[in-house]
Amino acid sequence: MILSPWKAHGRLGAARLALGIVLVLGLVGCGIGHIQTLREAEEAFSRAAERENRGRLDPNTPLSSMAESASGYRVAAQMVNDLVATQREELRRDNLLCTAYLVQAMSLWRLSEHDAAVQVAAQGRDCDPPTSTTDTTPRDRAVLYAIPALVRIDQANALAVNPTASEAEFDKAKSEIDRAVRILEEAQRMASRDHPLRGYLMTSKLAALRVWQVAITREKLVDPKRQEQQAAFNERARKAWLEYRDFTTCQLGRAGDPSVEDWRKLFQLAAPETPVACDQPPGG
Amino acid sequence: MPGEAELILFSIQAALRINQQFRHAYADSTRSQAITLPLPNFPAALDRSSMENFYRFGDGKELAGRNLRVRSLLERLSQTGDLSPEEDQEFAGLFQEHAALTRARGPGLVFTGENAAGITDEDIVHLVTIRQWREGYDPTPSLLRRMAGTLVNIAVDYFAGMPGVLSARSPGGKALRSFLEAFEHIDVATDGRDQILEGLFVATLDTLRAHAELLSEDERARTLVQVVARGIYEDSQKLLLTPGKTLSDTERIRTWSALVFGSVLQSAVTTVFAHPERFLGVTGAAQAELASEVGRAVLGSILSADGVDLTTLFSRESLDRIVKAALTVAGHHPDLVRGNSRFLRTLIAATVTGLARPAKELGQDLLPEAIRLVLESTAENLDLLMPAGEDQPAQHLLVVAARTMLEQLAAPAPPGAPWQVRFGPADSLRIMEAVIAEVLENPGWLERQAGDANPLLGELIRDVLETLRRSSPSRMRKQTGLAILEAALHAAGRRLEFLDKTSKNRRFIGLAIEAVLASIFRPAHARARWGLARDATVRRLVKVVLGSLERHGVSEAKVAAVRKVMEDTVKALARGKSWSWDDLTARLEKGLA
Repeated sequence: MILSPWKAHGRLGAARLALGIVLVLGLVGCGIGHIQTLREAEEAFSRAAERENRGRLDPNTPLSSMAESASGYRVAAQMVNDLVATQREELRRDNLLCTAYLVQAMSLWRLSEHDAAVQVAAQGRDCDPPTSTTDTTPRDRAVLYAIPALVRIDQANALAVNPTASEAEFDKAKSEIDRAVRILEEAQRMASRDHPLRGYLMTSKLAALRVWQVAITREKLVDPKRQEQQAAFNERARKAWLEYRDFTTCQLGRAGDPSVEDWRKLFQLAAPETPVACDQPPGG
Repeated sequence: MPGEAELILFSIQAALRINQQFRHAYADSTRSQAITLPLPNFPAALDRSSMENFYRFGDGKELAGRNLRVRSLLERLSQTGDLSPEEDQEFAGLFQEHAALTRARGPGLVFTGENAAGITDEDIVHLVTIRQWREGYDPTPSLLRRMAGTLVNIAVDYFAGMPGVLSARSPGGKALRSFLEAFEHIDVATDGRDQILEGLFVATLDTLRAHAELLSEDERARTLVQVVARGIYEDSQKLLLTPGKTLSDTERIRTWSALVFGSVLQSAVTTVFAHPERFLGVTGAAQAELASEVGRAVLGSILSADGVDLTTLFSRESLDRIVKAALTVAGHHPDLVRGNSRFLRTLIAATVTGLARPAKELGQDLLPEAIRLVLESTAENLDLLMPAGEDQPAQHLLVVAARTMLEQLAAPAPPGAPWQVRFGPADSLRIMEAVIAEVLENPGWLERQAGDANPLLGELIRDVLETLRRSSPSRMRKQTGLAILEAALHAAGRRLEFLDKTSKNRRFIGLAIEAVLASIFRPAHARARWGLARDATVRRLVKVVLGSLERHGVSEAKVAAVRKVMEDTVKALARGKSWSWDDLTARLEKGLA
């Protein structure tokens, strides 16, 4: 049956108006501009980080690639800086403030603006949304906590690889490394035992230990301190490496991950005497 | 059944919920998105410190104990902290040899890879790309789940007063299920494009409410909803993915996708379903496919019009009219439209392009209705109107005719002419309808005579408008002028001689109209003018005169005879004598015989 025209007209008119309202209110004024900007900043940051990670581990990387990474970090840091300045409350309401601070703090760290990076990371401790929620941000909070450690590793590395060699410089670098490792271990405890972020934090710890190992040589330590430090390093590195091996095998389910052997090879640790033994089946 | 106020209130609530849920989902997605984390600076290449560890604590410890030279170099390092370049080279050489030996003794225990230079990028990069939560433990609902919940809530509210409409077995319920099935396998993107889905969903609900009865033939309705929704969705996605889109462009695409979808659904059920006889030979799924092609063509035309923002010109009503006209074209020419929305799209685009310039002067509001007029007339006269072929929409006779006509209407009045009226969109459409009727009767209107700048149609309109502007008083209403123009079109359509020229290069159509207007508006006959200059009288006088000339032929002598009859009539009226239309007609008949 077809509706009579007068009846159809009245109802249709109202329905059309209703659809118009839905579309105008629902689709036009969505208020997602801050989310979109943050997303773009995240992507710019990730691209820069991937390029830098690859470049750092590949000795043939052209300088222009590193410049592109720096440019990407700069763009991400500026985007988030502007966003937080103008829409901090919107970010907090949507539980995105921690993510925003993560992108900004890490970008500043990679741009060697260490004080600013640490300052932003400290601000990030207050990034929770106004109301209690189950949507916590374990990755963001743990990374923000770890920022001072990452800065310290860079600073220790700079001391270790500079042309000057002295025991005082070694002590300074070693102090930074010790503090960094403690912070990284605390950050690890903020994430669940199988969270992939632990892999990143463990890798950062191995990087810190590597700086320690190189510093012993580059600062030209002599006995007895040389052998003491080397023995201490070997003990710590072995422990950290076993932790990393067990994590990748048992928690990430990546038995035989090549990065595990890469690290052992870089440190030149002795081959493990026992194979990996997981409490649960790997990946379980 | 809720009233209009309730419906509007519901709509606002639904929109706010959609907005809020989408924002939450988008925020969730952004928060949980994987981020690649940079590693701190560290020496990633194997060096002397690694070698020293090999000999002191690693797999080379035993070898160092047996090799005097290694022991000596290690001792030197312990004492001085450094080696000479030669010693350093020697140390590296020994290490390479011993490492290889160790590797040979215990394969897989020392070096498992080819690379012996340190950490490699491929090995490490994948481990530093970290999501907010570990795999499978994301506590926030997925975008699809969030939106699905909202869609269900909206549907519940929407049909709260109509229990049973959406039951699993009802036509409405089945149609809605079809809609959801259409999106079942679509990969839900997380960058905001999927707001299209909500718009389409609400449009489906809207149609189900408004046309529950028509959707009783549920199988057709199911197919229609599914096919059209998918088609519109795919096209809108493609439009969204075009590079260089701004946020406003994106919003416009979303809004118009939903509007066109709703319009196609409603138009399809009121035309295709209600009048299947108009869709000869097209049944079942083919009807849905045709409707889908129409929707895609209209959406594409509106959003891709070159240089003209049609979205600002269309209302939902004008959109509905165009969709219905396009469906009618599809019904008459399914082969041209099926599986190829290009024909309709190109036809609409050609109309917009052809009329855009004059429409700028006359008011672009006329474009949607002009498109409708062209489409409606095309449905039954395709062969006549497209003599150059279906792939040459720019040569469509109605497009050419409308452009010609609008160009003349848009031309400004000469300075000093008494009748300075400007025409608007409604005036233009009125004349366009008359022009279309004439062109359908006789496509010869678009032929061009030797020495003319325009086709006959354009020459006539130009000549009549010039006469009106020159011979009419400024107070004459625009509607009167338009009526005279319509009468002139009609008369010339029946007698081509009206378009002939005198020895003084004047067209007879203009001369005949001038004869009437000049006699009425002559200042010397104020009393006669009082009665005759009424707009309705002027219109009728022109029609009567042109009708008489139509019957008796057009020549200089005949126009002179008209002039004399009109002057005699006016003089008689000025002297206070009576007159009637019958009397005037009789005088004209006698004078022109």
